[in-house]
Amino acid sequence: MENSNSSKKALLPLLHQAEKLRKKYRFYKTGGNLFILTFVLGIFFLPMITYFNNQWITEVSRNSSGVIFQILLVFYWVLYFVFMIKANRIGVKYRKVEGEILQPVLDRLIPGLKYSPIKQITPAQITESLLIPSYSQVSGNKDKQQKVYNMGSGFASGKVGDTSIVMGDVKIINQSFFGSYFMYIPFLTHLYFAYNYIRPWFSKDHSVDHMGYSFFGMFVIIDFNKKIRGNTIVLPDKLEKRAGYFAKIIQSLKLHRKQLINLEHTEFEKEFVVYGTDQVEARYILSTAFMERIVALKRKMERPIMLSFNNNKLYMAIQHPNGFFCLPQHKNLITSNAFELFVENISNAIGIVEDLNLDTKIWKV
Amino acid sequence: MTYAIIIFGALLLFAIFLFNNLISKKNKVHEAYSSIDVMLKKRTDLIPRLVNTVKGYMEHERATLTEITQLREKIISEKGRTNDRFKWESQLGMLLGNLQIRAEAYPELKSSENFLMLQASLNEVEEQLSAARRAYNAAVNAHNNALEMFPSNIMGKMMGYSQKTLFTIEAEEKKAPEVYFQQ
Repeated sequence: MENSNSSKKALLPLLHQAEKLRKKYRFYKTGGNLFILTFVLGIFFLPMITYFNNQWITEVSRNSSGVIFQILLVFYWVLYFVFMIKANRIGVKYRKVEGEILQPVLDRLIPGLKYSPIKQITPAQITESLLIPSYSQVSGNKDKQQKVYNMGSGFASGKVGDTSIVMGDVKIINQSFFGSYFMYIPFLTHLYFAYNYIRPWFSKDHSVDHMGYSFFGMFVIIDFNKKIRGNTIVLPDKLEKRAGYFAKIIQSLKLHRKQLINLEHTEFEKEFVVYGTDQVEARYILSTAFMERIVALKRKMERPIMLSFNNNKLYMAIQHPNGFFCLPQHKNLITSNAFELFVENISNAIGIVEDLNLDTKIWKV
Repeated sequence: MTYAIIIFGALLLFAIFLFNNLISKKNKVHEAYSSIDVMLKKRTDLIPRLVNTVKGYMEHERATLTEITQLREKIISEKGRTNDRFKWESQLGMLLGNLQIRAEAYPELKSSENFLMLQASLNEVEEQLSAARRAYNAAVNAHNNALEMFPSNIMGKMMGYSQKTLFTIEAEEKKAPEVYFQQ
């Protein structure tokens, strides 16, 4: 706390600069997003409205040339473009200042960790983690699989002890859903598309910046201290709390995942669901002590966390409503605890290596 | 008549599902059991190298080393008798654990690269063995649950299936190992 206070004092001029830009950016960004929301809602509700008010619309259009409607439409689109262009321009400036604030923070927390605002966690790395489900019609044919896109940038890499760590801000768009068998179910893909746009406005865990993204937040890649051949995925268990025993039956259907792994740690099982290629290897990775560490980490982060163990690497994704490496946009950067939260998020991410005891390689020679 | 055929067909399908489910659970227990076997074999294979490496340094532990060698030979020669085998494997695990702890008292041995490699391999195998045992217990648990739950318990009885035993740790293994240091 004292550390972040002294950092805040040192970075105050930059924070003032960022605060001015934040207010403007937030105004234009929220405005632009509202336009998108009304457009998406319009696509869904317009056919319904026209169907039920068919008579009234016919009468109105008979007596009108439709010029007012066209003017309104042009005005709507012009305003939308103005808002989006403004938001983009201010956003670039805002992120530049954000980067200038971030590097000193990283230097204080762990020297040697280098931040690059342009680099990003690649879609290939995200796909390799297997954390973002790939709904494919042709399994195993990589060329035909729909891609996962990362629209976020900002990436820090270095070493914590002897362990390599790469962490970045990701904004993932998963389009595989639209090219899968799901597209044959009427309106399902349309509803999914709308859901990604509407959800952020009504959920506490999301911000308006989430609009259209499947996942928004932190993505970390860490060297894992055990040799593994298959893959094991640990996901938040949303079903267990709601459906109890039946959750296991539903989860064992696995759909696009591998085998369901039932573990004996009660608390861990309540919080997470595990899928893997090998029952023994999953237990080799998730020893009792390791499961306890993951549960403790989840409590510390107070957010759903996803882990994947593949190719001797640990991939971890944690949802952040405001994005990772980003100052909270809904709070005043000077008067609120926004800066402290920003530092805490990064410090927690770096702490994962210690929290999960990943730097201990006593058995590796 | 049509209804009777539909009901009979549905019941038949359900019975086939229960039958296959029980067979799959039984096979999973066998699969998990064989993975324990593989890990135990890995550990047994490491023993000659370990004994050869440490015997020059640990003169005072000759009795323990002889006991380890004898146990290994017993395990290899009487492969089929599983009940005894697991008891011996358990004893062997305990002796190996104790040997590694006692190695702390021999600084020259501790700095030997060969010994460190073996120690790392042995610990790796022990961790994998523990995972294999947990996987076995999970498979047995699923199998036993299916045999106790309705309606698979009826099918289980018809198939003559019985409950499998969980892998438990011997009381002696639960004890914390004693540590000796040379004066």
